[in-house]
Amino acid sequence: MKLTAPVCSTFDVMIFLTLLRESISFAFHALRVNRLRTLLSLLGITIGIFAIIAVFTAVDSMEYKVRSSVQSLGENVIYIEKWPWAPEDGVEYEWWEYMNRPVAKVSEAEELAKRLTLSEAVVFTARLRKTVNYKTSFVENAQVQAAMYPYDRVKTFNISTGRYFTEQETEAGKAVCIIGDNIRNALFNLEDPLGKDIKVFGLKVTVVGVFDPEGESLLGNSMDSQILMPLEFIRNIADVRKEELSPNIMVKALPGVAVADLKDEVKGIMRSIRRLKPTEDENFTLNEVSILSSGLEQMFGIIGTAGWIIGAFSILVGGFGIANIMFVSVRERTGQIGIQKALGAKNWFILTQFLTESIVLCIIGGVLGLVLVWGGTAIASSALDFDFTLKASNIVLGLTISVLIGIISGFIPSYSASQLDPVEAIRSSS
Amino acid sequence: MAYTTYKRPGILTALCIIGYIVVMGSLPSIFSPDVRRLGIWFPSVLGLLIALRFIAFVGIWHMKKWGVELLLYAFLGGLIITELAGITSYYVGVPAQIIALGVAFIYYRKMDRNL
Repeated sequence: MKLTAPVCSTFDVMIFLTLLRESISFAFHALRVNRLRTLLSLLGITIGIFAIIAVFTAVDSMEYKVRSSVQSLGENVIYIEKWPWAPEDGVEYEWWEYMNRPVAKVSEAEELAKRLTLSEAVVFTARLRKTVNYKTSFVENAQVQAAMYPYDRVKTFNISTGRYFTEQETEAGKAVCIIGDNIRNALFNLEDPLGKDIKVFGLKVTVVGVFDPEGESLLGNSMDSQILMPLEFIRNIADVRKEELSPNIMVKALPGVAVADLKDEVKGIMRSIRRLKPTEDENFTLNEVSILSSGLEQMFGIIGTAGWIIGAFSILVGGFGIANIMFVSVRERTGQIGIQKALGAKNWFILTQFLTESIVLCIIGGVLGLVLVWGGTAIASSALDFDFTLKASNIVLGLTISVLIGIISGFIPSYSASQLDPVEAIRSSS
Repeated sequence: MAYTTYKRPGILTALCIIGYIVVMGSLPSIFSPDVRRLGIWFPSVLGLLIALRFIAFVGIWHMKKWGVELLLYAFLGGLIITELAGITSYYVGVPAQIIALGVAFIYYRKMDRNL
């Protein structure tokens, strides 16, 4: 047999497009005729797409939120503390060793600020919980954050109304504060808080600014529920050397300086401040955001993989459902296929017709699943005060999976339909 | 026009069964976190390649030349895409794919040209 290369003219392309359109309309007609069966068979795909995209959307939204919270801690900031945030890889968490360590001191922060060459700012902070009130309104256990002056250089925040402290206010320990949006709402409601005095520790403290609303933070470090005060003011009324106040020193690297280099410098100076011998272990920990980031990456990796497995099984079940219904569809329409072929329909026309039906079925199922996810995110966002977002990448992924399942589960039934002998097909239906 | 259809040899049956298992096994990979990280377009392209491989094995099962050709295109497409995305782990499966293609091409002359 001599095979010649097919010549593709514009006419052939037109015929192909006409037949393709016809096969698509055939497919839609078949879906319309069997509405209940269509609905039942696409349910599997709908549930599968809903399961997998819902998990991905939840994971992506939580990951975004946690990452934002972690980033607000400062990516190039080192925290000098008594306790490490997480055990090092392969090293046992020696809590009994850490317990005996001294806490960070204000004098150490001052010494570091003098001697460090790679840092932009050094800040000592401590926090405590107190009840604050204004007239008859009060907030119980409000988080009071005490910090040195350059706190605004190491921590990322915005002030919506008012201003940050002046250097004189912080050094003189003036009774001034900046309050978070939640505190403002609880104490002042619609009243302008600027210049008003709130009572903390029974003392009058003047509000000079209000932080921009940040929303809830999964790490609990949102400025919305904080009251920031000069460290010197807090030192007059509380002992910031107490461990309950979580004293720590924040060191921010100069622009362009690697955190690892800054860490080395801080380590050397801290060892000299604490007079540690070369053979002695450090009695402080240098924490950085990357510790949390890598821990979070692992956590979200596990959640993502769990979602992936659940989704894979759901999709698999949905795919088998579609394949089953397509076999039934081919069986039911055997006579019709025979007549079509007897009238000159090509094999690929029959194949395209059934394959299109399968793909359309899966796309409808996938779109319904995505609509359910979208509705679910809208409800969850308003009910939980947490912003769930259905990302474009997840929509594309959902539709891709739908088309893929449509092709894979529909190809064998469609191919078997295309291979039917017209005579046998017509005979079998009569 | 009459065509002589050869019976599918056992080795091609085995190849197709392994192929189906590998395709079904690789299906969940399109929504794995690692693949999603490579870009919004990558899962779609990977999905298309998986679908092409599946169709290719159906073709080979039915002793069709287009099945072998489609498997070759999917292989080459996979190489190009993974090269563009910079995934080196893909090359681990390359020898197995070359063997599969080699086996399929041995019987290529005995296969049917039609759909």
